[in-house]
Amino acid sequence: MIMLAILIAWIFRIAAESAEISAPAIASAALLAAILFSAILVCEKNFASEHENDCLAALILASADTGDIYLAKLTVNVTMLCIFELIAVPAVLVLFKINAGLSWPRLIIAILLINIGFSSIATLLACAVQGTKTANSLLGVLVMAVLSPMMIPAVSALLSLFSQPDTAFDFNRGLGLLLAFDAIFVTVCWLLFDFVAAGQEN
Amino acid sequence: MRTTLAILSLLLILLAASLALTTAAITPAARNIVYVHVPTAFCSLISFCVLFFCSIRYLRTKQQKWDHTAAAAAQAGLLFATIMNLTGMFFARLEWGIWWTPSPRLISSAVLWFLYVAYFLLRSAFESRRRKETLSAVFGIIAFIDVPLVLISARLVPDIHRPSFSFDTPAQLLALASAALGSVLLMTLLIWYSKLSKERLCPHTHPR
Repeated sequence: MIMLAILIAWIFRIAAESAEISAPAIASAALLAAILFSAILVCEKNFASEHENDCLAALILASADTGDIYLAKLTVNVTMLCIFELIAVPAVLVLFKINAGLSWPRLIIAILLINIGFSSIATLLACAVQGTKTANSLLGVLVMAVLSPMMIPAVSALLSLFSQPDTAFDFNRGLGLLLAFDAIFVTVCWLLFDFVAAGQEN
Repeated sequence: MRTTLAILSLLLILLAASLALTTAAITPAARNIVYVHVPTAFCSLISFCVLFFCSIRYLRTKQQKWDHTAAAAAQAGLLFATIMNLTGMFFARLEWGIWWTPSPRLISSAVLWFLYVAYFLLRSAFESRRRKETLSAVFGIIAFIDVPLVLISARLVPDIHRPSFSFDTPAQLLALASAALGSVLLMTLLIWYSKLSKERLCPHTHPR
């Protein structure tokens, strides 16, 4: 995953060199692409091991609420993404020479909200596609189709942070939308996980 | 009933076409594509609402008829969304000189099409019928919730989609209204036939 993130950032960096697009714009796109692909990989791997050992069936039989299983999986996936970003974010910032005047607390909040939003959908859909022949490619397509509207506020928030001088208005608007996306996605996925988990038994 | 619907739909579409070619014609002629573009956009959104409603009904009742209707609505929706995007691209090329640009309504139309395609990709991935039906219903709900979110988030992007004309004359309004109504009836008919064909292929229902 870390290698994938560095490679994505590096390819975008080369593209930025030859294009007339600003480095902050490509840096925010590279970072989002890295987080998105990593979220897909994390969630897919997390559920693949469960499927192979039939652990999910055992978890569903436990006396805990099925929604709690989803929240636990989501927490693990968000934590894994945060660990991966400890290396990926500095790598992107170094490659694109974005460091002067960067507000770290705001960057951390934005990335955390992006992680939660991406993971909420990826966790639910990773559970849904487990056991299919084309699970890996299918998960990528489904997650990208559903998350495409979230990319707009995510890019807006990151771009306003990376631009000099940063624009607080765009950041706040982007952050507000990210928060709304997270709340809606987590609630809907939490409610629907029961059906997805039950679908695994058929 | 189906024959009546088909005749009504055909008559309304013919009326819209004849008006668009005569009294309701917009100049330059290329702009008349809106008589196809707007009704198909309307139908693709209605199909999505049907898909959402049937997905919820399926998860509540587990009756296969709801899954058949949801899949039929998605098929009709995909057809109308494809026509909407294609006519929109031609219109953009003629009006603005570009095939596509990131503008709120263009982004939301593209996402709508992606979601329809993703729905069918998901359906084709499962061998177990019950699993396919359940997970398709789950995806149908998530996809429907996604559509208003696209419209809200796309406001962060500058909008190029400003029509430089309006439907001023009564003939133009009548042409658009009959095209829209005819398309909705056609969509209903498509969903109906598609559902019937699915029921013929898979006649065994399994209520809970």
